[in-house]
Amino acid sequence: MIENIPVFIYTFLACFSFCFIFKFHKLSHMIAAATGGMLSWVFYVACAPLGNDLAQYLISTIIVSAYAEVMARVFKAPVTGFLTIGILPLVPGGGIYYTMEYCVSGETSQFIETGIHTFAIAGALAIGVLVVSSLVRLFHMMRLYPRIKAKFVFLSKTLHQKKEK
Amino acid sequence: MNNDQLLEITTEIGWKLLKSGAEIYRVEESIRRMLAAYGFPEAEVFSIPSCIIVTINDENGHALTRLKRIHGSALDFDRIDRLNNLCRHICSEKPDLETIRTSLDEIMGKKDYCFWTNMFFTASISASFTLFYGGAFRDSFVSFFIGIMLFLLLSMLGRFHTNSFFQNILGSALVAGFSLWTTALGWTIHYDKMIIGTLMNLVPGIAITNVMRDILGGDLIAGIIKLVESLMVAAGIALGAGIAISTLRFFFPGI
Repeated sequence: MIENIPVFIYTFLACFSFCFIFKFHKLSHMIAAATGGMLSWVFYVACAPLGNDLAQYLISTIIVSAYAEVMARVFKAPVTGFLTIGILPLVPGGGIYYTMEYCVSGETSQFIETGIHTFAIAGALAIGVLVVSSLVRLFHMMRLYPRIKAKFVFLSKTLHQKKEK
Repeated sequence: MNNDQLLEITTEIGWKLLKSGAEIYRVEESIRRMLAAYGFPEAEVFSIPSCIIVTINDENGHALTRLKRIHGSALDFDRIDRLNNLCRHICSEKPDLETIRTSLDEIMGKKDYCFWTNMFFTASISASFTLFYGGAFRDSFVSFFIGIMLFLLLSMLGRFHTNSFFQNILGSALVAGFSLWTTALGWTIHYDKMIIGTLMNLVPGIAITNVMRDILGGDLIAGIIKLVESLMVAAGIALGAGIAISTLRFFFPGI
């Protein structure tokens, strides 16, 4: 963990620079987003004992998406920006490059292996984002419709009354 | 304000949201809520990444439709944030047309980062991602200048309205070519880390994160369009880098 601290600083710098390209204008938003980017890599490294990099990608995506949702609520700002910046260090840029490299140099079996692995990483990222945003949407719906909840309470009460009678 | 003006202004706000890289469900929801606030709860909104269609029925049952086409979008977080706040304000206060116009013009007229800021941070992304992927400090220093060249190339191509597939091929060929060349001269050590780090500038970050969120919201067409878009970008990057690397290996054998 300690030998990785310079890497965390590079991640923070890279995500902070990306904030300018994605037109963040408030320093607090930028720092929150760049911290999200750093967190994703911190959790990726922290999950290394699992020994399965797809699980590492999945767990850190889930954590960083939850972080992005929290930050969106804190700053009352759209979640897209925080999420996009937070996921950047996990994007399999290296995978895409080495797939291309093996394709060019004609090593077909390596090419197929790396290509499928890259697709699997992209899938892990997508599933992580999907899990968190569907959970958030579920909670939102439960809070948004107290009337439905009230209706259920009313129904159960009337049922109980009928039973008592 | 009359129905035509209402339709015009709500569609324009939606159009600007979509152009700033907002998700499809956010655009549809904003337009629907604004129209509902002005007394059209039955309004129909349909949007995909390249167009918006809005229809309302007036008091006589006459249908009014507005269609707006979008050519390309880029993530502009600050603009999405402000437009979102404007939508909330419109839904709660129901201001008149003049007030909405003024605040919309204010949002669209805010000053953007200048050319040099963008150039510096593109270069800084290249340098820090090179370090992140395991390059040496020498590599990152050279990547900084390759990032500047990439930015200049992209802004020049953007001025001539070249399509993005061609831009990605040329940009990634430039990056891969220069990285390999400097390594062949002995200035740098890991050309692969430099290429990966610098090409992070071209990787379709928004597309990747928004695809799942769109599909989840039920916008399958929008999700598929964005998926194809990001696959096209990835193919363009791979093609450009592949061409440059195999050509330069011919001149510098042994790398």
